[in-house]
Amino acid sequence: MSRLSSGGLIDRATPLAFTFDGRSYKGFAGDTLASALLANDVRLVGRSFKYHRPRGVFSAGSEEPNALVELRTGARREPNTRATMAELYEGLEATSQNRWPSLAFDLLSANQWFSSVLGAGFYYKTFMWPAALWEKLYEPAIRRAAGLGRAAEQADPDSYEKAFAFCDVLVIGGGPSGLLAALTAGRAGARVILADEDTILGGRLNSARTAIDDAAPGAFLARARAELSALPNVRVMPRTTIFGVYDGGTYGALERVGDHLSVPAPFQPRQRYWKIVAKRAVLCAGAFDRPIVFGGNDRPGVMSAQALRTYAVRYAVTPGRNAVVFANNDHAWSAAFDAADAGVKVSAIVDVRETPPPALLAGATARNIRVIAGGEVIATSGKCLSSITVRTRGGTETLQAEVLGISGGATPNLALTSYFGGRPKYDAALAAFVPDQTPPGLSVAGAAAGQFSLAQCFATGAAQGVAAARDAGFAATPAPLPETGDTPTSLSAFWHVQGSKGLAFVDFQNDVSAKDIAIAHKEGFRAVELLKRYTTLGMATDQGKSSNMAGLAIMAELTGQGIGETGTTLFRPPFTPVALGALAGHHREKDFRPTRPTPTHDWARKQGAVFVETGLWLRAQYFPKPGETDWLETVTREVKAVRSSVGLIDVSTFGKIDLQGSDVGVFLDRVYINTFSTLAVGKARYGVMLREDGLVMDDGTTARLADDHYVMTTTTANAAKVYQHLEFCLQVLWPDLDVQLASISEQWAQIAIAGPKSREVLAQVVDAPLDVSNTGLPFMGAVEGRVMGGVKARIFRLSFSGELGYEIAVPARHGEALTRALMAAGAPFGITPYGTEALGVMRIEKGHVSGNELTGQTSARDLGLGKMASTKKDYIGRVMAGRPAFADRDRATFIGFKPVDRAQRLRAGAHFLPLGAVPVMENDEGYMSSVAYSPTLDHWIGLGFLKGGRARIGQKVRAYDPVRGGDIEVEVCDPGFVDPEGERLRV
Amino acid sequence: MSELLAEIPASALVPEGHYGPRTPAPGVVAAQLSQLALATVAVRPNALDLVAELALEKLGLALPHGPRTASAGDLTLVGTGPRRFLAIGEGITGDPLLERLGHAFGKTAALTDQSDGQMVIQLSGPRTRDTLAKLVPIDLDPSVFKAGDAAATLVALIPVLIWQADPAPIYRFAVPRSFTPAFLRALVGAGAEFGLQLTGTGRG
Amino acid sequence: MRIPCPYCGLRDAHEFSYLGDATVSRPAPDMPDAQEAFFHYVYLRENPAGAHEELWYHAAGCRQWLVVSRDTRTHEISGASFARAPKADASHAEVKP
Ligand SMILES: [Zn+2]
Repeated sequence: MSRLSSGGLIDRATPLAFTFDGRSYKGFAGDTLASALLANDVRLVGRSFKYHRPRGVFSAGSEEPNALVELRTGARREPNTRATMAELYEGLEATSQNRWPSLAFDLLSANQWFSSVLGAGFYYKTFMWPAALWEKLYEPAIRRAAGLGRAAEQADPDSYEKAFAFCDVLVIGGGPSGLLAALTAGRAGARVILADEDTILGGRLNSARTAIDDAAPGAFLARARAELSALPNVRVMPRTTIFGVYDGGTYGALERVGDHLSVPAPFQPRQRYWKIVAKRAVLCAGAFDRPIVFGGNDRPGVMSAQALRTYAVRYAVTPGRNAVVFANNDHAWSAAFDAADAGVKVSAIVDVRETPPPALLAGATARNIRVIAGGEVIATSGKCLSSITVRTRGGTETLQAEVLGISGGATPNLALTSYFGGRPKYDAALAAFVPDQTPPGLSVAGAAAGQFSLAQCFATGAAQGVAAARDAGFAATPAPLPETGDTPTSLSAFWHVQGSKGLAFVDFQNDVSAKDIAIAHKEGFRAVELLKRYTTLGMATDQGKSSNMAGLAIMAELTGQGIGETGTTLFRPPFTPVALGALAGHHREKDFRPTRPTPTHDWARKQGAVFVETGLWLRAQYFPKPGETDWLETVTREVKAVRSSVGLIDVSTFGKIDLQGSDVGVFLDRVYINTFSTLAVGKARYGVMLREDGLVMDDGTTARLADDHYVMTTTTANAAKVYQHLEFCLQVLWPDLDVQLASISEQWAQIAIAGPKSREVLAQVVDAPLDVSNTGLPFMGAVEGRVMGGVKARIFRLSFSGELGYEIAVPARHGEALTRALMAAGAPFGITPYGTEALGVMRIEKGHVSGNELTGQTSARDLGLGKMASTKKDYIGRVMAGRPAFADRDRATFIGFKPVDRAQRLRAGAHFLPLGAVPVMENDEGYMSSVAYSPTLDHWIGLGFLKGGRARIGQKVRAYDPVRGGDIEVEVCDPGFVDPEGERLRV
Repeated sequence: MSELLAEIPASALVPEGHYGPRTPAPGVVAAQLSQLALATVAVRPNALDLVAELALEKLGLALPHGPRTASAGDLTLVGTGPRRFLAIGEGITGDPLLERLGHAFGKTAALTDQSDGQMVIQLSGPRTRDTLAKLVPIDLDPSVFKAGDAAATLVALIPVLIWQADPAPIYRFAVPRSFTPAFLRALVGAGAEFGLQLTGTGRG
Repeated sequence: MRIPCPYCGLRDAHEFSYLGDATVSRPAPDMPDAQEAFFHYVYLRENPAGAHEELWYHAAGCRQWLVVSRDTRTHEISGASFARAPKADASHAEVKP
């Protein structure tokens, strides 16, 4: 065990059992999986992506490149989980990934012996040719050799949800600067959200022993946390990562609600995706301790110097028996001192600087730590680190070390500042990029702004908190800052040990070495964006948080340009990986999108209806009866029942719009191609609406209930679109018209009955004195009255099926009762409920256009409706519909088809070719849009668009459907297959 | 999807009952209200001032200005857009409501019955705002959205009208009839964490 | 993106649907070169980098058509007003975010 005997923020009273690769271990509450593994001397935790090199824990935070594991098992198995972010819980099961057959003995690690050929550009160079082998050979091979974890193969059993939050000031990060920003803005009365990706507030203060106000940092943290939780206007969100910044002060956040539990608490989601809208935001995301590049720097046991401090101080773990620190900066020394003071045996500090500050030297002496100034680590050895080789002025020396804390300096965590295209600027004194232009409303404080010392963090955090609160309209005042003896850190820029032994890694996760950067340079991929894509630097799941800086510094050395001129690639959201499930929230499976049942849904379900989704609606598609073997048999029965007696269908899904006002007639004349101002009260008319480009937008029937009151119907699919279009016309084009719209789609259930017996059925449900006789309610009549003993109703004598038919509208709550009443009244006639399939068959038999024809590419003339267009008025789309191409005789227009061999089946989507013509595009003459088996004619019939249209009635063409293997002769015919004169409608 | 809704058809109203952990008192109480009449009131051009006068004179209420509510007795008007209101009458049906409004406004406004087109769902209880934070994409903090405020917005892809009926707080939603099952699913999923009591939707 | 609806207040752009350039207006249909004018009205648009007046419909809110002033380079929205002539409803002036 490497657990220190005292200290740390772990709860030693709460031991937790867990397994890694099947072996059992113990940790404590407050551990991460990484700290618990280190405490159990598990130092080899994974294999690298490309070369399968053994890897250990590198960091103690969200930037972790190496320690990726599969967490949990079965349906909850989650690959690429950073062990440094996974909180330990009782029974946690983790598995190493990317190794075969075992972590300790991985056959594929042989890849590393071929690193000379697997280097930068390997994929591009190797798999270019022959391309045909890609699917069969290259991709499977690459996936097996170079992949990370395995996703679960079953559906995720947990739930996810979305939520919205609003605040004056969003503080991102709960370290020293974030705490001060939140406290300052909170005290001023601003609504503050403090989001922190860690479990407990404090950031680096949880890992440091630096005195604040002459006491351990814990005392300050306790006060700060208590004050924040006492402020009712401050909301602290732990385990919450702000992963994106969007327009208008919108921030994406992921709250890990149940990730620290074996299963989420009952009725709680695993994760919650927050959309936070903030007037102002302060980014206090700290900095990453970046590695130094030298041979063997990826060996398990090599970790960041700040991680060494964190494991020692926060988790009371010594990650190896003998620690050495290799750095170029003061901050690494204080990490070494804190680790030593916590109980880690730190034997030496190797600093590339010749003369480190005297105060540090004194600190090292006091702790009995040997100092090697002007030294560089040039090699490491051991399966897990056992020794390092250091080059000094005097030569080389080998030191025993199980852990090597490395630090090339701090890299501000400024990713969020560049999401709007802001380019960070290089600060040579800090050897770091610092934020320059930030997204609107976002300012930066603390280490993320390059203000690395604790005192600077406090000061800038408080200042930005004041500024943000003031911007949001609050009278904020600066408060006294906590006292700390911490001084600004100094460093000497240093990136890469020259002449070290073995592969020197820049990007651990994607196995990009210093040599790969040199190859990219040699081959001309020198711009940072090219360097990134050619070498895959920074393109792994960690997005190069710790590695990018050294990579571009090495490129800068090679090109001789400065680092500032070389520049950095821009970051994009998300900051850390976000599960798709979290983005979907509850919108999955049944709740993928809302389901809209019709008013008669329950009744139809009891009749055994099969339902079909039409947009969001669920409509009855057909009503199979016992003994019927397929849908065609059912639909045929339904059609025959309507044509011979009477049938019933729910048509409530049509869009219905109420129009009132003195100008409705004028208005309708402008939006329909035909005239409605002359429509008599009590009458309905079929109308066609164009878009302004002259193509058909929608069709439907509109009735006039009173002088200044019309009711429009639209197709189910276009209900919302037509409403929006009408509002556009009224608000933008003709704001002076007196027309008031109201959607009544949901208010009225509308039931259609059709068939020669439909009048007899209807007559039984209407209340006196409503007269539904042929004279009282003629074809296209529309009347208001009462049904079923007092229920108000609107009755329209319309037909889509071609039979005598009525649509009866009643308030939606009465829809089912009306249906039952009609079914009872129709029982003597064998009234038959039918669905959308039979309706579709009958409209094809009648040659009516529908959604398959209203494609947005067809004009009224194309659809055979050109004669409806009024020439006495202007209307939307009129001018553009007059373009010559629309009148071209060769344009494909609407027409009917039947198979020459009547036994053959037609297929929608088949293209028309002249008989004997080769099937090439030049010979294409149109396509079949709708087909049906006609029970009335006892053969297949079709509708479609054919060059020349009606002029070709009687001709034969070839219907060619290579997708489904159809290739038959069809005869061109009038689209009105059944009752073309419409006599049945008027009986 | 919440496990607790897995067995309930997406096309059916979520049955009344208690959802979530058993607590001494539910965190959220949701009730689908009946006995309400609804109608849209669309004021004709240039008639807003006149309608405001008529509302005061005949109905005893000050026409809401912007997305707010105004009530007098059993009648509430909710502003839904410029010159547009949703009228809600408690304890009556559509026809009498239209009659009353027609009597008050005459030809100055177009009236359309919506009593069957919208379901009204009321939310109350100590965790109401926490529940609504998962549903409503607007700021319902009491410093921003107060009793008498209203908003038309989108909840779980569903167009709704929300208004705060009481500072307690009590919120009400008008939801298009066919979207009510989906709305209740989202609501129950969001509120179950706090213990949600649902009434008025029948036993399923 | 958040759009300051003059009726509803600041709302997420998800509640709106976009149409485009608000500065074009429907030509008189009876003028001699109407077809040419309509061709321009229907199809031809400037693609400015910078200030743009555009039509948005608050579909999930007040169902009003708005003219929104947006900078196409930054998505910064400097204001929104009802597309309907302001006199139609004098009770709501233009609002700024
Ligand atoms: Zn609005």
